[in-house]
Amino acid sequence: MSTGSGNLFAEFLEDYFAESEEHLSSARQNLLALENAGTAEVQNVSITNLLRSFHSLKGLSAMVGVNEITQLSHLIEEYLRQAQTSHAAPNASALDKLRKGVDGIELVLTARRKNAPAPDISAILNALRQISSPDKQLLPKEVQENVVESGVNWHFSFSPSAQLAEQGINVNLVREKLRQIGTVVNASPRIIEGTIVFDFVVRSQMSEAEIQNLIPAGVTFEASAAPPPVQESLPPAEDGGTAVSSFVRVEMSKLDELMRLIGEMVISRTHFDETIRSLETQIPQSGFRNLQELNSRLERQLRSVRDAVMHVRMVPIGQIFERMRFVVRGLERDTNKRVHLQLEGQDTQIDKLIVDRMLDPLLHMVRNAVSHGIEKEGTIRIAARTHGEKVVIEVRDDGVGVDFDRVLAKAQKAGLIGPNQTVDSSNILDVICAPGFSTREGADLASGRGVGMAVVKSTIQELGGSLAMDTAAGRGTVFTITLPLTLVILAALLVNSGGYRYAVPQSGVREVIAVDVTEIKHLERNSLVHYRGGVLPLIPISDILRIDERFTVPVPRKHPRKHVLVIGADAKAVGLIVDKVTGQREIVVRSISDPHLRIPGIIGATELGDGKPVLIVDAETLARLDRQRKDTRG
Amino acid sequence: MRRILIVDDSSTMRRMVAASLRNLHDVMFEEASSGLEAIERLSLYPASLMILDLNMPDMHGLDVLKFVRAQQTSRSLPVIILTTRNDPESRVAAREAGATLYLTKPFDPSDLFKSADNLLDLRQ
Repeated sequence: MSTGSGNLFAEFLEDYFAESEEHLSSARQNLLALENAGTAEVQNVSITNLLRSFHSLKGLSAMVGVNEITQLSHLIEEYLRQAQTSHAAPNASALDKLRKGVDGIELVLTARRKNAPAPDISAILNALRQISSPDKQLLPKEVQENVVESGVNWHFSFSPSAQLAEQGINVNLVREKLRQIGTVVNASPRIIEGTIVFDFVVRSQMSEAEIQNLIPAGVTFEASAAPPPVQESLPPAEDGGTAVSSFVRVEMSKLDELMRLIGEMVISRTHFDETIRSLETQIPQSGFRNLQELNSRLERQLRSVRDAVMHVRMVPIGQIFERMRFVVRGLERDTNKRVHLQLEGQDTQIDKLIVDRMLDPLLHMVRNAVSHGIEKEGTIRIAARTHGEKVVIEVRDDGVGVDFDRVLAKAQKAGLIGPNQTVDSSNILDVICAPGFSTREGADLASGRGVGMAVVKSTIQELGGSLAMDTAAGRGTVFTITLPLTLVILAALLVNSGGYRYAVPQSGVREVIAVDVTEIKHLERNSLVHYRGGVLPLIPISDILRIDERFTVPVPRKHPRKHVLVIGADAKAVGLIVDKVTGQREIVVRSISDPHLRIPGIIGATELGDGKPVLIVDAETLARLDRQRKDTRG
Repeated sequence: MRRILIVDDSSTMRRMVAASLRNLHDVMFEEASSGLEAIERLSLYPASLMILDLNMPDMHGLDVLKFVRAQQTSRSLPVIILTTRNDPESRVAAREAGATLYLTKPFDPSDLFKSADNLLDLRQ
């Protein structure tokens, strides 16, 4: 067939052979199913599958100019279409001819592969022409229409999101899983309040628990046409809730080891990725593309494995929230205060290690709230929620608020700040979190135990989290703790600055903009750039890390453009200025455990596949450090 | 960067389409192997052009097209139907469902290139 495209598509011959083999093997299976079809349903499904295979074969063969297969597939398709519209089953003679057609296609393919001349297929073409002319070889429907496969209809809903898609959870995966569960009777999209929801009706013989185990995240389901579940507001029991016998106890250290191994695999895959890239010019394009496809499949699978292990490690934070009830009851007795404890978001899932480590800090904050915040009667509200890749925990009381004067007096007495310095909302948290700070003479029953806010803060930082506080006189205080969901792998932007490479976790970066160095205005010690109708203060990444200029590489004049990572929102936004954002990828976080190397703003280090370490910087902390430094300089 | 969504259940065919269009400047390709996936992709990553096969599992290309046309965000998205079906009924049905262009397989890569190039230009 002259398509004028022979040359362009010659490079796809290997792909074409591979895909054709798949269609042929699927066609053989479906012909077999058709022969043994017991129900109209099986028959319909088989014919639909066959039609799709031969339709694709026809189109593909025409594209690469394999006429013989185009003709064979065309005749088979014609026949199957009639069979489909007339709801008739092929008889033995027709099935035989279809099989000959499949064999003929196979022969042509083999010959093509060997660059041999095409075999003579005229006899097969003639045989197929006999059955493809209308209403000849079709048997009237003899299978029972009303035989219904046993099982229950389930209604599944899936709403896709970019986040799920990044984890490899998309509608194709969902459909694959549903096919394992049963027969997909119907699949259709609909729009609810501007977002897409896919509805699937699946007939299955599985139990609810079995289905629950198979469906990916983001998919909800219920028995079709059943009354709505009574406890609709409850989230589905994701960890297999009720079936006690299906639990296995695993030591945490084993899970840690598993996570570490996965981390190693991620690094190996990165090496693999780089290697493939370096081979692009050396291997044939089709082979290179196959490699790339394999590589990205490997990446997706690795991510699924990682997510699965992460999921195993995650426990509801409610475990430690419940402990607070006992603590508060004890404190009420000890202090003669009335405290109402409100807990929210107990089902929020977070890494087991983080939950364990956060117990003491939370206890301390609750004790603080009772002894310093609440006077006679009040409410403490502890709430957790997931926010992107982070978990946010709020500890809020409606007490008197932090007494700035008392904090100032105490801090001066303890020598934490100079006699001329003041305490205001920008540094209050740092002051009360300074080691050696306590507003009570000695440790009282409630807030004592020597944990202190210093330990609270350092624990949170070690976990890669952050602490913020907001307080108002007479209205109370709220501590906001932000923690990562897990500790091991982060999505990060890779940047270059002054000849050094850094990784910046993506969750803190709102936006990346490119600026020309001539657009940067210098006012006193500040650098500014116009941004969204306002100005954005700029901080060079090397400046915050106090890297001596002698050790940095100046940007060549030829490249006057720099990249700016925008951190924070609105008035608090700052721009972290780097020479160039070079990429984006998932990095394994290696913590720096040496206490001498604890540098604020450095979360850890990672390796990008070339064996050289790269520091992981926490942009939000860097931005805050810079604000503080400017403040203290006056 | 203009995004072109290529919808076809054959991966070889998707690559052939992408190969025909690889000389368009400033474009990136997004692929979907089924109608449902096409709708998912479009909702997550808006496209400047969709190239749509008709015969696909689960959801026929025409139903995808009708759904796409019913959405505010993709009402005017240029859609090229690229199919092996060459009968007048299919053409009429595609036009009624809102197809911008109807091309048949086997396709000439330069025809597809010109059509895509024109549609992308019109959109700017």
